[in-house]
Amino acid sequence: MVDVTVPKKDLLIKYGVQLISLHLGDMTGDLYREFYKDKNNGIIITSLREILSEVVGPAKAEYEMKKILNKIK
Amino acid sequence: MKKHNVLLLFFVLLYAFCLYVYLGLYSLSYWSLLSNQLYLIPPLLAVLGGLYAVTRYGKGNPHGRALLYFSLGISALFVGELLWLYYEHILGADPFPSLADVFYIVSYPLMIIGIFKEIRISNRKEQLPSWKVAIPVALLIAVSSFYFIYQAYDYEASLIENTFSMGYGLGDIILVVAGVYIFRIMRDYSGGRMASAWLMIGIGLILTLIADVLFSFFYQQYEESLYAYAQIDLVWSLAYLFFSYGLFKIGFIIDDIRQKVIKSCG
Repeated sequence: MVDVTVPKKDLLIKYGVQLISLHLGDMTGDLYREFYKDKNNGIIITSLREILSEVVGPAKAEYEMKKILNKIK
Repeated sequence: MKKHNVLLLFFVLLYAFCLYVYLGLYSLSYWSLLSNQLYLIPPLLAVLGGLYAVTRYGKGNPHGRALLYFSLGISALFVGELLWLYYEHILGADPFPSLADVFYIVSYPLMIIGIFKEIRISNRKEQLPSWKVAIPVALLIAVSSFYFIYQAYDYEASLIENTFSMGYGLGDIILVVAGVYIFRIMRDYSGGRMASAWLMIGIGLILTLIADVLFSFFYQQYEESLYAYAQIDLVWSLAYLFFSYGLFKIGFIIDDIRQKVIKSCG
């Protein structure tokens, strides 16, 4: 499991939305950018994991999440 | 009832109607024209499915671009089908070789470009080393080359006819390779909803390959419209419906996720 206490919220949203845009289109990415604005990091990470797991499967979701969290460390 | 279930029900009913018409449970004079027009509906639905999925991703999206190439391949098949019917039933001419064949053959590279583009996006680094895929693919190509290209050559046929026949053979090899890679995409999406959509597209490819092989083996009987052989069209129709369902499903998955976030935003 990856640490969920990530301080850099702007970067988390940026990379998370990029990932959503890649797998679900730019319009979906824009909707999530709005949704994440007032959410804390823990909720954003849980939400990203859930969406990605549902769409591309848990293994790929975890792989993508690791990449994001490593980028913003 | 969810959108994809409604679509599935529609496809089942449509295919049941195709079976009814193609298996000859009709009076021939009236229904023969209908059966020709009916045959164009599944490829048209596949084109629409492709357009739907591409528009859901939006322009510039890598998955959207991959599906755009794949959909252009299906569109080429649709144009080929349209031209084939035009030559055969309106002009009363032999449609082979013709412009229809150009569109059929062009569809294969377009579809494989789409699949390779999708693989480049979907594959993770820690997946199988490429040789584990390359060896079975090379074996499949070797066996397929013999059956699809060498056997397609006819010493009595014209150069154009042989070029097209062997082009189809090459196209079928492309389909075999594409099939292998689609299963890699599915494995990569394992446990996710996109895996089932790609499974439908993969089944569509396999059915296309089966229909192509049956057609090349029984071309003479098919041309004479002998019962059971002329019904190879049913396999192609089913393939198009699988393509269509898989592509629409990709669009529906994206729609579902959007609806969820819109609801969450209240």
